[in-house]
Formats: sequence, C-alpha cells, structure tokens
Amino acid sequence: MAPINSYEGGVKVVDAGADEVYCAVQIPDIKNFVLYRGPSSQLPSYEDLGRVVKYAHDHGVKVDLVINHPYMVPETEKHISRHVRGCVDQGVDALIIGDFGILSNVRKLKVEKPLIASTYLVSMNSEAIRFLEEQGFSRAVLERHLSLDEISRIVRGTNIDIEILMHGGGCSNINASCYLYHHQFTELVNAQSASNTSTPCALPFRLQNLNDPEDVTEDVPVMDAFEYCSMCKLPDLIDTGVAGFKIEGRTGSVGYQESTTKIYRELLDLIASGYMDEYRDRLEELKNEVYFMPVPSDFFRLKDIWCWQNRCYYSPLEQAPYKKRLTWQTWTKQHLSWVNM
Amino acid sequence: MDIAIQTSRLQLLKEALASESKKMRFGSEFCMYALPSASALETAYTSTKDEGKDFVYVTPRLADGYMDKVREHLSLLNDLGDTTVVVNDLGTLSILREFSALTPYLGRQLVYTPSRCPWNEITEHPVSYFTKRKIKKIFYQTSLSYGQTMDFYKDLGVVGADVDYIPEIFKNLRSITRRDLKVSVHLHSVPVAVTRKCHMARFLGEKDLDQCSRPCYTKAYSMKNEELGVELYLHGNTVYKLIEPDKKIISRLAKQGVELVFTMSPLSIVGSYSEVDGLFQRLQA
Repeated sequence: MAPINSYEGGVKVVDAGADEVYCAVQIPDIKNFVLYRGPSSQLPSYEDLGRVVKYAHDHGVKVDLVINHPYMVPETEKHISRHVRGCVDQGVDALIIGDFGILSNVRKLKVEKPLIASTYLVSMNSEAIRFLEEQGFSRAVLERHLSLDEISRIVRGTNIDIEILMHGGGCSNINASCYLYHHQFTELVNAQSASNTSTPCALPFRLQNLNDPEDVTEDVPVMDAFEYCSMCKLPDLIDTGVAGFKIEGRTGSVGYQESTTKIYRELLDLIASGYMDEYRDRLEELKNEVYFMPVPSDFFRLKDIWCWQNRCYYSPLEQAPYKKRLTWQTWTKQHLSWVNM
Repeated sequence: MDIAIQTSRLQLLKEALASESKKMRFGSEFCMYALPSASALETAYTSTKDEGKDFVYVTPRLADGYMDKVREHLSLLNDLGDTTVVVNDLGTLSILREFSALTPYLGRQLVYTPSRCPWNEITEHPVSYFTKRKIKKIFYQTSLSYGQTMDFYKDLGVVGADVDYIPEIFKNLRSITRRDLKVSVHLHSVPVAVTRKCHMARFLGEKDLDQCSRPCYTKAYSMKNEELGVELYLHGNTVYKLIEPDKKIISRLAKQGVELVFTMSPLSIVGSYSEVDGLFQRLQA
C-alpha cells in the first residue's frame, strides 16, 4: 500500500507496482485546521482524486481514502459529511477511519464501502480487533508498537484483514497519543535546525532529575525511538499472515513514494517466487545504494542512515542506541576506523 | 469537592487511604508493564473498602499478553463487588461487557484532546482573525464534544470520562454532563506523548521491559530544549506538560459537579497523606 499526495504520485506508485494506494483530500471548508500533517500530505481537490481513482482502477489498483481527522466536533460535522460524500462520489474503494464519531457519521450517510480502522484507533490486541470487527470494520491497521509474535497472534485470532506499517514514519510515540504536532512555527524550526532533526520527538533535551537537581544529562534525544525500515524483516512479516504492508509517507516527495514502492515490490516478488538468495543479495545492494528519503539528507545510503542506528521496524528498541547526529566527522569515524578524529 | 487520589503503588495507596479523600484509583494508567499483580489488586480493593472508601481500577493500553492478565483482574474484581474500571484500550472496553459488576469509565487515552499539544501555535501558517477563531473553537474541544461519539460510548455502558486540566476545554464539559456522563479532571499533569518503547527505561538502560526495575516509582525528569522554549516532563513512558491549577477555575469545576483526580507520583512530588491533605486544603481554600 503506497502513500500519495498528488496525481503524479498516484501514477508513479501504480506504475511502480503498488496493489493499493491511500490518500487524503483537503477538506475545503476547514483546510486551515491542521494537526499533524498539512496540505502537503493531501490531494488538493476532488477532481485530482477522481483522476487518481480512474488511473488506479484502469490498472487494477484500489484507492483508499484517509479521513484524516482523529476526532469530530459539531463544527466539523457538516464539512466532514460533505467531504466523505464528495470522495465517495469519485469512486474510492474504502474509507480509513480513526474516530467513532466519524464512523457514526459515515453510517448515517449510508456509505456502502469497506471500512478500515486507522492507527488512530490504536489496535494493539485481539480483543480490540474483535471489537472493531463488530463495529463494521473489514480491515484494521495495527499500531506500530507491536512485536512480530503479537502481530501473528492477532492475525490468527481474527477474520478481518490486518495491515501493518512497515516503512517510513515509525513514530516514537503511539500515534493517537502523541500531541507533538509538527506545526512549523519559528521556535520548532529553530530547535530542529540547531539539532539537525526533522521531527519534535527527535529533539535533544536537557534532562534533570526532579528529586536530585544535581542529576543532569545534557543533549539527550530521549524521545527518539523512531524506526524506519523493514526490508530485512520482510520474510518474517509475511509469516505473520498480515494482509497488507503499508508504506508511510504522504508528505514525502513523488520520488520517495515511487522508489520505496518499487523497492518493496521487487523484494516481495523475489520472496514470493522463492528466490531467497537473490532477495538477500538485493538487500545488501540496496543498503549501499543511493536512497530517496522523505526528508532531504546529506547522507543517502540506507546503511549509513538507518542500519547503523538499528532503526528496524518491529525490533526491540529499548536496546537501540540514541540516534547520533550525522556529520561528516561521525560518518568518517564510522567508516574509516583508522582515522583518529 | 470530590477529589480522587490515583496511584499505581500499594505503598502510596496506604498513604492516600489515610487522607481525607473518599475515592481511591489504583492501577497503571499508561504502562502495561506496570500492571499490578492480582494479589496487590485484591489488597488494594479490600483495604480501600475496609476504610469505607470507593475503589476504582485504572487500566492502560494493552498488548495481547497483558490483556490476559487484565482479564484475570476484571474477573477478580467482578467477584469482589461493584467496581468502576477506567479503560484506555478498546479491547478492555469490549471485554468489560462480560462482567456485570464492573462499570466502564473512559480513560484519557480514549478521549482525543488536541490541546494537549505543548505549543500554543494552532495553525501551520498565519491566517485571518476570523479563521483563527474558527480553528480555535475546533481545537479546544475533545472527541467527546460530539453527541454521536458520546452516544457510542454510552451504548457500551460507559458512565463517565477522564479529561485533563486544560482550562480552554472546560466550557465544553457541559455538553458531556448534559448527556448524563460524569467527568473527572486530572489535575496538574497533561499527557503530551505516550509510548510503549518506554523513553525513561531506555534512557536509564533497562534492557527488557518485562523485567523492568520500575525506575518510574522513584524518578521523574524535567526536559528542556532552549530553542524550543517549552518545558516538558518525563515520567515512565509518558511525556507531560504541567499546568498549575487555578483556584477560581477549580471552584467553577466543583460547582459543575466535576470530580478532580490527583495522581501521587514522583512527578507530582506528593507521597504522603499529609501532603495529600495539604493539597486538599489548598484547593478548598
């Protein structure tokens, strides 16, 4: 499942081999109300959505609509109802929903489309999945903070399709319980640029023990448990029995969306065909290849950015080191151990 | 004024029982690894009842293995008598329907509240005065401001909900109480971010959360980033912002019949019954 935020992206990820694409569309009357992701993560109009749907359907690919609001209030009811109707009229195949108010509203509109439970509903156990099934969801996206064993157990215990996130945006915090919105206001931009980070959870902090003021640690990226990639874990993830692998990155560039989709398509096809040696060889090549990032970086090799940091999805992250700032000095130190920095 | 004391430790519960508070909340609100044992839960329940006080069990979000443990706890409480259970997980909310003596109460993690965000900026780009006013109105509400959401939870037997001490959202609390749902306001600490990959345990070098030595029982940290200009607090797997309660606002909440909740923890630096009573007196002054 590939993310898109433009018609061009839609065409590219379909051509790159996505089985489904997912996207949001700006809600015209409340487009200035932004929580995590701004207009750059959304298709600008229903017309664009219609074009994406047509291209995807012509190529046998489904389009899922993200109704990207984690809550509903009386002031947004009318706008969201109109929005859902507008998107459904364009022929989307399913709705991704993250709030029971929005679910009630969609039911009231009598929309006959499959419903997918978003990560905003924080599905972390089999009971929660059973509950979501009762509410009419035919698929659920699991919260990222689960182990492979926990994912397998959930899949075994349900009749609905289970989908997992596997690449990009592996949030440090539980999605629906993180209020560190990424609004680019001056102080946040300054703080991020001073520490060469791109999300609030990656910022370094000065930690002071409240019971012992002498106990101070400077410059700790204490919330940074961010994960990034699942390429090495694909065989294990397939074994869990999940129905869908989701690439994160609706705010990413078209280049990122396309290349990530292409790479995962290639790797999944190699595994599905039983070419495990070729899969492993390709994996090693990819780690050393130039790699598109959702956020521009001076360092492009996957190995340098994420493997070295042990930033694998579904790994026990308590043991991972904190992310180090990548500078030419740290890169040199890492790769040329004989250099005395 | 109704003030409930919340704690996750038996030792602190004993102190809370000696205070004036008539309601005890026991359990782990945010961390599945810190679930109490069944025997600790039973002790907490019986000692609270022996003091003639109300008992509420607080549960966190759960992965499957921990859900098994909570099911066992719910079964135990169901046998002991009528109990309110604070739920922060849809799975727990669902299985509560199997236990006739237990009443669900929505925890803070099931009430989406955008104004938990620590930044004051609520729009990505500068907008007109009227647009900002419109956005503010949407921003300073919770997922419970919408009637259909409340009805959804009421149909599942939910009788009330926890919210945070964020004064800007209080004018919307009436929409909840008007629908016959109770409201409990958590004083002092507002959860800004919750993780399973415990930030504090990781910082302190814990290797396995199942074997965690619970540094959160004794430690909490302030988190400062000079450029950001916002002070946050780390306690266990949760990052908080702190808001000092204002007497006038507290008095207004008390008149509305809203219950206040105070958590005893290293973050609140309130660990004894005398400190709890001191807090009561300050709030009632």
